[in-house]
Amino acid sequence: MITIKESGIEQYREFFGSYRTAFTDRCAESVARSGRALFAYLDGAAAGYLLTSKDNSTEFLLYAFTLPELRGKGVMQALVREAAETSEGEFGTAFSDGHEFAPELMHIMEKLAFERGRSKYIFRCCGDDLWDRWDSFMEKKGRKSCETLRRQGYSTVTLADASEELLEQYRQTPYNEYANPLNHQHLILPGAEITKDVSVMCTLNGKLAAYVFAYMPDRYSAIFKTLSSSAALQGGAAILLPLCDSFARVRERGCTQFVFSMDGVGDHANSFRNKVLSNVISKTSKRLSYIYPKKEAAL
Amino acid sequence: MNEAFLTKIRENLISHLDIEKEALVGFTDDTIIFNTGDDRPNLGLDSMDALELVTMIFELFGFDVPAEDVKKLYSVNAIAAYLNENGINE
Repeated sequence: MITIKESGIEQYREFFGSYRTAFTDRCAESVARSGRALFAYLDGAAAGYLLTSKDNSTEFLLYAFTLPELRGKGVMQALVREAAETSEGEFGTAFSDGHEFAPELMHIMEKLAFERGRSKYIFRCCGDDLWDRWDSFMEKKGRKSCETLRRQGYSTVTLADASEELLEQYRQTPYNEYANPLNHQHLILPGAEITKDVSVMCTLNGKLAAYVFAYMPDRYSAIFKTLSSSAALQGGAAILLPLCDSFARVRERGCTQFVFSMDGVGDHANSFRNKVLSNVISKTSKRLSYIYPKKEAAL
Repeated sequence: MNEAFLTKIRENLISHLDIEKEALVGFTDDTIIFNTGDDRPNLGLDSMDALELVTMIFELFGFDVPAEDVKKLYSVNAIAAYLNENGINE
């Protein structure tokens, strides 16, 4: 029989210590700040756990684990069901279709009637020749295009140096899809914050035109979380300028691999992906997201 | 409009923006060059191409097209007319 209990994060270390990774430790730290830890017991013995983080009204499934020898017995499904049904707000999760257990996770989500959210494409950029490929693009077209943008009046500033006025523009902009000022923690890694001196905003005549926000978990890796252009200035490829600036900054720090995500829709986004980002993309996968529908209280 | 001027714009547009020959079937100086997202015939150029077009105009004529004017450059004839308005005609 499977029983689920919510308790402190100590049990994660006590029962599952030998399966700890740097990532699961980060998730556990996040739970300690704002989240829940649920533990599953199969016939009284620890069998698995699930960690969440909370952001405003939404709770996110960060990580779930079942002991290898107990897989296939419904432990994961019981954990996810309990977490979703007892969540106080919306409950959701996202994972890559390239994940080792993606088919099993998709099956569980569908079985528990999670609703499929908008998918995003994840592009992984790595390889010994990563920066050579980028240099080749810059040499051929990128550098001249950036010079043109600068002549047109576009300029860049890092998030670290951005004025309060510019940050306010960002917070209020309708194309800030998260409407959550500079807080994308749950969307990258638990406990992580955007790395402000490699994240770059682009302005035209003092107005926010485009921005690129990145997070560097270590000096070799970068996660380009947000690439966005002002709706009014889409079609001018202004995003190229902060992207080039941000690439130069992560490269300077020793970055040798990075990922970014984009919606698979929109002519401008597709064009930018095909003409610019394709020069550095090594692998493409899809980020699947699921939301558990909150049941309305009975009248 | 000065034919040599139009030819200069047309030929540079085709060579700078790597437009394939098949895309040029039925192409005239009035053909819309950017992807309009509807049924109107167009060359399907995108935002990065627009930026390259502005770069090309700077290199050819030494004139910087302001960001807000890029949408005015929608055909060979429109580019020529725009440049003409700004004192460039050859």
